[in-house]
Amino acid sequence: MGNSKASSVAQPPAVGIPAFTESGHDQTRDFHFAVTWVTLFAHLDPIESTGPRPRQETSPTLALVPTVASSPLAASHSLAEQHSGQDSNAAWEMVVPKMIRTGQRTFIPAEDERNQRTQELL
Amino acid sequence: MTKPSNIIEISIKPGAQPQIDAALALRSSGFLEEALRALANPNEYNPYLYTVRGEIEFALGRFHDAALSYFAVVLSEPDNADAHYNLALCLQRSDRWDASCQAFERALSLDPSRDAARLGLGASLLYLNRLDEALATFHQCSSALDGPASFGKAVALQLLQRFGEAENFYEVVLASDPNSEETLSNLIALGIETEDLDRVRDYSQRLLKISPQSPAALQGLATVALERRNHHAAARYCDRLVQLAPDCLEAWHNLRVALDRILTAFNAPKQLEAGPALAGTEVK
Repeated sequence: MGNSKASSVAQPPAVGIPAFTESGHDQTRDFHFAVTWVTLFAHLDPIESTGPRPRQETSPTLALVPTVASSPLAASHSLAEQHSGQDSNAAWEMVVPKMIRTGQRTFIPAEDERNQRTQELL
Repeated sequence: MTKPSNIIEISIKPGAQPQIDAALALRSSGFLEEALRALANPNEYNPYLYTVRGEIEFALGRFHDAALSYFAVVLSEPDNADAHYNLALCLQRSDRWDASCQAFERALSLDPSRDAARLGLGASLLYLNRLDEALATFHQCSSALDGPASFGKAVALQLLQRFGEAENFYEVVLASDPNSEETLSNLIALGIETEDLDRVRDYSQRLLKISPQSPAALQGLATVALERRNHHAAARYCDRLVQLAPDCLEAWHNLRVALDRILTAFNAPKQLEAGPALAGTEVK
């Protein structure tokens, strides 16, 4: 079969007058046989939109202010009801949060403090 | 009359919707250029406007512009699988094979059932010479795209020089589409590579029946004729080739070779008859 070759790379088109000086007078030249896959692109059409896409619902933002779904009393009631059937001897205690003050109110405005120090230096 | 200084003029600019409506109306009437102009300088960013713009640009063959429009869409709607897929097609048609692979992969990650994206990805991988990946991608296609996926597998296998397997897949394609010119053309190339002249001849003749001016078919038949020293046939096929493709250097050269051989064969008996008169003359 000689040396005909198939290739996947398309050669650029040759333009000009044929020159037969490169090979022997009786020597045939190989044709270029390309492997192509243009058929695949026939199955690739863009998808046309039918309208604007619905806006994505954003996840609810976390509130900085704590929200209480039900009052603590109601919650403790419902919990008590849930547990009453399981353990009737359970004891409940109400914990009241306390604000603990660490000392006397000693807040001094920064301006006053600076004036006080200036006076001390003088 | 001068305006009081405490009155502020408020100009209410319309949103993008009027522009989109105008463009859609123009597009449906076939005025693509006008439709595109209607979408120029949008008053506000609107992903739908850019989607419509991309569609029109694609239809006009302005794939690079369309890619930019779809890129704007995927930036604001990263979960829009359609936009990623369309972007990939635009990149593919702009010869941006690597970027198109990424866009196809993104579309597939959002919608794994999108077989067309798999097909497109395989085609781009073939161009990138990532043949094993291309083959694996075509294997993942569902039966809905069996024909083109088989063709893709055949091409990947042929380029991997797994010729027997490639031929089997090409036969699958031909079974469903006997007139697939590209399949026959690739089979001619495969026959050339495996040096199977009979197959080259058979596929070439088959292709020539479907497409009488097919260069691949004529080249295949010319090659067989030249190899088998059928000079008249070789000259005939080469002659048709040079008429169809005057810039085909091989065809010109081989036509001359075939004609020389015919002439030599024609002159040989005369030279033998002449005998003593041509004594010492070498017969080719």
